[in-house]
Amino acid sequence: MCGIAGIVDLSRVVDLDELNRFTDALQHRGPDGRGIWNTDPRFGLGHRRLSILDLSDNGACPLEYEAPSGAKSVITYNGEVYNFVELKKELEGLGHRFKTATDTEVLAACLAQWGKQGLNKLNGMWAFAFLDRSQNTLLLSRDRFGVKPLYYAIQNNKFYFASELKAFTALKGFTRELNEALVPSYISNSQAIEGSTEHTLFKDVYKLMPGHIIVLTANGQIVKERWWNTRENTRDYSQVSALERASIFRDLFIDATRIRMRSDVPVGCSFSGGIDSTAVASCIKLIQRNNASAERTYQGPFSGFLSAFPGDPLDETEFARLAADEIQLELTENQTKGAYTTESVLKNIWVMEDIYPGIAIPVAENYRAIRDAGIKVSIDGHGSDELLGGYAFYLPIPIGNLNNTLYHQFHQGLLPSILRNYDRCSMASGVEVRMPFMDFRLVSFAFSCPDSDKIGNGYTKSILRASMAGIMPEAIRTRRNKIGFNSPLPALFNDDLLPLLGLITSTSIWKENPWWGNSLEVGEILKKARTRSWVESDWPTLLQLWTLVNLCAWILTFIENKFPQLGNTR
Amino acid sequence: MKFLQLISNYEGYLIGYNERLRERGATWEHAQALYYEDGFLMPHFLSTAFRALGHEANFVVFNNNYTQQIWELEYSSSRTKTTNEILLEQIAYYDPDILYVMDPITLDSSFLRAIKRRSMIIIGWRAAPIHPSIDFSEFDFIFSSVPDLFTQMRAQGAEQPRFFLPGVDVEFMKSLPTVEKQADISFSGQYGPLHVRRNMLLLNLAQQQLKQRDNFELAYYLATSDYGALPAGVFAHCRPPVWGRNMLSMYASSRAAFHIPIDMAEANATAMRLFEVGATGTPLFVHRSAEIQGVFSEDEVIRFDDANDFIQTYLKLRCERDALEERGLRAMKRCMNDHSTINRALQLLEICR
Repeated sequence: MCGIAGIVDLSRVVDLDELNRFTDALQHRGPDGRGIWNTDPRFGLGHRRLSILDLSDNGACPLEYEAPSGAKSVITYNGEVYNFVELKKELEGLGHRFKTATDTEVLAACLAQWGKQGLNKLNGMWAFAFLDRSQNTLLLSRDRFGVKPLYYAIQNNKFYFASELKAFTALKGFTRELNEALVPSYISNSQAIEGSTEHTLFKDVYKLMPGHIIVLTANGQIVKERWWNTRENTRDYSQVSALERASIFRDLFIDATRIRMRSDVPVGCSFSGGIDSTAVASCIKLIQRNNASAERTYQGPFSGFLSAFPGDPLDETEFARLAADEIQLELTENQTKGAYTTESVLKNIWVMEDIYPGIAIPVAENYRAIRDAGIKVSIDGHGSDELLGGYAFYLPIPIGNLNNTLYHQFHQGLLPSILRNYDRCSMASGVEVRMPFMDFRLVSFAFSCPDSDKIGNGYTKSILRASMAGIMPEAIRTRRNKIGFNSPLPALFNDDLLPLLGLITSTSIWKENPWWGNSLEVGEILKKARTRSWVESDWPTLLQLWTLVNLCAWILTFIENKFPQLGNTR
Repeated sequence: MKFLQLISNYEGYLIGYNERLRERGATWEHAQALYYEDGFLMPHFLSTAFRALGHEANFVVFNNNYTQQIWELEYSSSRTKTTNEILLEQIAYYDPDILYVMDPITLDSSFLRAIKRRSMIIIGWRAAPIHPSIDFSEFDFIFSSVPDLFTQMRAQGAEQPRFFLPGVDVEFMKSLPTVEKQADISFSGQYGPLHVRRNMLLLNLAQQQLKQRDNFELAYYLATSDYGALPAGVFAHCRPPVWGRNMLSMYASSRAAFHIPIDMAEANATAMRLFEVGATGTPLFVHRSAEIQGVFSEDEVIRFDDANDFIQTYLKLRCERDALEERGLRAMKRCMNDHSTINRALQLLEICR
């Protein structure tokens, strides 16, 4: 789990200084080490390492690999291939020999053996660049659902790629130009952008879409291809009883959790006492009890970390304590009160590097607490709400259309932006987030099940609840209410955010914006904040208002470079 | 006085009824007993009340071909008649002084004109929309709990529309077994285009469930033509429809129930469901604007403004269990004392006099 960057300049020689700057712009993603590969001067591959598997120098990246055929390759890689243990055995049977205990080497061998077809064998999350040195072709790939990010740009006949958008600002001659065409879409629904277009807020920087590859050939040709389509991997389970479907789901979920426990460093979890995080934590405890000797499975102490909001409707402490107590999970409660200084909010915008209708400080702070506790891997319940219909706004959808709606939300709608947030917020503190609900076997199965397995039998996420009977605390399994993981916006607008609001609304970006013009009464907004008049029922207004503040702050940060110090603080 | 009630039942109910009748033995006597035991349309079941008052009273479920053929086998000398021919023969056989037609849409004036002896009083009951083609001119009275329909009824030939209410068969209610409380809030009824307000409340209550910190269980026993079109939030709590005795037991097993009448009735909420819930002793929630005068007083029901208020009120009262249950018991007492079907039968006789 790391940050990757690279430059390809087929007609000249890669500028090493530029490659170093480009790579080190991702230092926060990989605080444990760095590596540069430039043996072939036309290709520069960079890597920032967060060491999780094989902590020795053997695990460093970029990693060179030589197949039994003698074919040489090199890979720079961000992610985890959870089934590397099984794949390694299969590849050893085919004559491959391994020098490290990393999944990186297994991934390189897999690609050397089967080419891009090898992607279908991988169970995990990733973004990587794999250089086949015999063909001089570079393969860039992103995992099925886009858990790990990858951006690219083509400028002056050079091809650039990196894990985060902000890295591109370190490039020589990079023009910080806002992609204005995208702004109206962001304003109308910022959560719908991430999964629906390869365009980004930087003009001429693109994201590689989930389940896609790019092949850069020796003659400079760029071929983009989709390699994964969930729909093509679903089956009809309507003839299978609901009880049996729940049983299949349980087996898949436990296995998805089990393989995500493979780690050579301490593992913890974000824990809210909601059904998703409690299901994950309960399964981890179950696996630790029953599967003590499994290869590479983490067996050490396992703790949960809660974002607590005492006195606020968002607070879930009572549920988290109840669940943690029952499954004997050590619980750390983090409060973010006082964390919303102007500087920290701007820093969070720098971390997030995109527009989102909420402030992700509680998420980021929770991962910071996890890392401060010496934990590098967090196994979390993200993805379940979109996969299994956990939100209240799914309730008005006709039940016959639910699966299609969830499919869209999962692949193109809400989830991609949430995955982006969790990646940025966790990686800002050097924590790798693993998500059992994002296991492709579980996802394919869930979309093969009828709508009633999502919302039915009196519950949301009904198949998860049915499958977890006897495994997780009953009070949480049958808990019906849903509290989102967000910042307490009304309280923040009444207090901590006032200086930032004043700062942003006084800028020319806000005053002269061509999108909403003067349609917002800034005086009224500030007055309401000063008189602490924002209330819970103002949530929709505040989400929209925050989106605009976020947009202006993004422009100030990334286009106008007004806060260059943000990248240097943790 | 001879009284004959013509009833039509939901097909969904009749399928299960016919199966049970086959198991019991397909005789007219069994058929009549089973209809009564089932309690479907209990609040409208006046024939039993007339019998209790010493009159000769019968009923016919005219849209059940199976039981109609049983009658034909036992009481008629000829066979292979049409459904209407059997019904006309039944009317001639029972020779009522009062004919009470529960479905004056299917059995409108064109049917009534075919009755040979026309000296009886004919009453129709309607509390739902009426197609403009329906002719009520052959009816002496049209009863309804929805006075807003009276103008249209008159325009379509009903000379004497009268306000009339369903009631409660006290003896039937006493025969129901005691049940344990299960779901928090239950509803039984139709989901469809005639019930937009109700549909919305069913969904909004489901949404509230995700917002409230306290857990509570919703149980919707819905009849609808397309279950795939139900909003996911409604579908989540949807259970197979229940009828008659089963529905009453279901209500009795709920901690609370609610009633939202058909949209057409607007504020007027005095429908059959009010009496069915009330008679079980289950606390009844009705919308703040619902008019229930003459049925319940304010201390016999619980008012709500919207789904949020409904749930907040319910959760508060759930903590004060006695206060919640007291409301239901008061409503039950009122149903048994003032709204019995025997009282309704007496009112009907008074109207006809």
